[in-house]
Amino acid sequence: MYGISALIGLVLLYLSFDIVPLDERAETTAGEDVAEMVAVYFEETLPAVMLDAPQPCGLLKTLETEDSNGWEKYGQQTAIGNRYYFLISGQGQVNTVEDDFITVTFGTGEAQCTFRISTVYIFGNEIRDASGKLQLKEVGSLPTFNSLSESINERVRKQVVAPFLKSVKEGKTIQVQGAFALNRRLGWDPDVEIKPIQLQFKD
Amino acid sequence: MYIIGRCLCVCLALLLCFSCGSNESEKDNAKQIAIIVSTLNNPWFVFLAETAKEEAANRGYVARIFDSQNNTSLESNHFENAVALGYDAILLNATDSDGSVANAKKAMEAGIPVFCMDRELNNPDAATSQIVSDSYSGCVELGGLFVRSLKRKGKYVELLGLVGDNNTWNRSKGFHAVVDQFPEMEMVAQQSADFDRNKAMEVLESILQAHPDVDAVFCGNDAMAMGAQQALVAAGKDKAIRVYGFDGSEDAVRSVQAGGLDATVMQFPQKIAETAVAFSDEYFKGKTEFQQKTLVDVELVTPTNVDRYTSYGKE
Repeated sequence: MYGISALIGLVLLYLSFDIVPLDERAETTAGEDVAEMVAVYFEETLPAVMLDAPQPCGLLKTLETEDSNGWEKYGQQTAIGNRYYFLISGQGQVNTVEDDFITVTFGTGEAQCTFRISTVYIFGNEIRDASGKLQLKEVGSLPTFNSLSESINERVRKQVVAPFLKSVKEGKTIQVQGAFALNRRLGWDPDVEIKPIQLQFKD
Repeated sequence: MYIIGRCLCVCLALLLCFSCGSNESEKDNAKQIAIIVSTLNNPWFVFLAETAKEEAANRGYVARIFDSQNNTSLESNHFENAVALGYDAILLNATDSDGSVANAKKAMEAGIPVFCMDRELNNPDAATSQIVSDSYSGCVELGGLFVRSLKRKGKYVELLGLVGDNNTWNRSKGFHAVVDQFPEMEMVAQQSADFDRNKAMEVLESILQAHPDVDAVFCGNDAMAMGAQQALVAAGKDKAIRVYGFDGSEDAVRSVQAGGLDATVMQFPQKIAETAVAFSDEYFKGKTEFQQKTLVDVELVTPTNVDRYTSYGKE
């Protein structure tokens, strides 16, 4: 009799606990927070910031000018060092479709310029940091800050680039919103790839 | 005239005594900074500590370096001594992200600010501020280069650093955040070599016995990358297998120049050390609120841009 009571007691005690590993719980909470922050970033923050994003060729010209204040004016820094992040927005024509990127020509005549737009290697902090609106001190934890970049890039790869690649062809006119990083000490890098934020066909 | 001359001599002597005393007193009153470093066996940490000491001296402070020899007990002794000797600030390059927390807290509880350099502590309350390289982002960039170089397909080995150090995992996570997105990239072995050159050589020699067909090796620091490279040279495979490191150490930069290592990620210990001393300076001048973590950029060094870099990112 006592044995059965004790057994029932133990079963009830066991059922009263919900045991979840601490790290799993931490990941779940952080994951939910990150998803929410990324959604707000794409739906509210970026559209507002992109209204002031410079045209690609104008920005390029500014950055290529020696002693330009364009780095401070258009660039954002999230760490101590030489890396600056930039946003661009403009309409251009697809020149080539390569394995890892497409090349797009913006502008006309002498003001023309060509950029690479990543279609495969969409990793890194460009999209997170170029707006200057997501800061480590506000996000708090470094792992969460890193997760933000991962989630932002994943969203772009799946929701922006994947459908775009199904229809992209040389000669198509597209509207590009994107972000890229440059090292101020090294200056302009012709191989730099723009990480897309939005890619829309205009014809 | 004679009296005036004697008076002048006496005044001069008094002035000299006074100024000497004043200098002595200024020196005695100079703030003291303890620089506690995980190990002085690795030239990277020697550079970090020496730069911090030099920067402290430039700002008029007295600094002394303590070597923890990768031992948290020894690090604990250094903290006890620093507290007992009345140091005014501690610049810490932690031995262990968890194991060093209690040591740093001893100083914090005694009212001595602790500024972490390069290695993180897994407790935000254990330090006044932490100045760290953005290792994760550096390895994201390196991971991209790694996958491109292998044309998105290949077998590779990962040599991890000390398992108790956050940098080990930040670098590994950043690397895998990219590489794991490519299904034809296969990691055949992942082992720790404790950031140690000789251990990396031994570990890779053993891995190559079981996996002679690997295409690349990713190492969590340059010392391991140099050890891995040495193992590959001995096996006659250094031309066939790519090696990637992290740190920007002198031998790694030279190796990239000479066509040995495929790439490294340059850290900037000078900036880390200078920022830590600058924060101490601000603290001494009354600032009490510091950002919990301050990131310092890292940069990818490849054969294409290596001529623009010097070891440890020295300026």
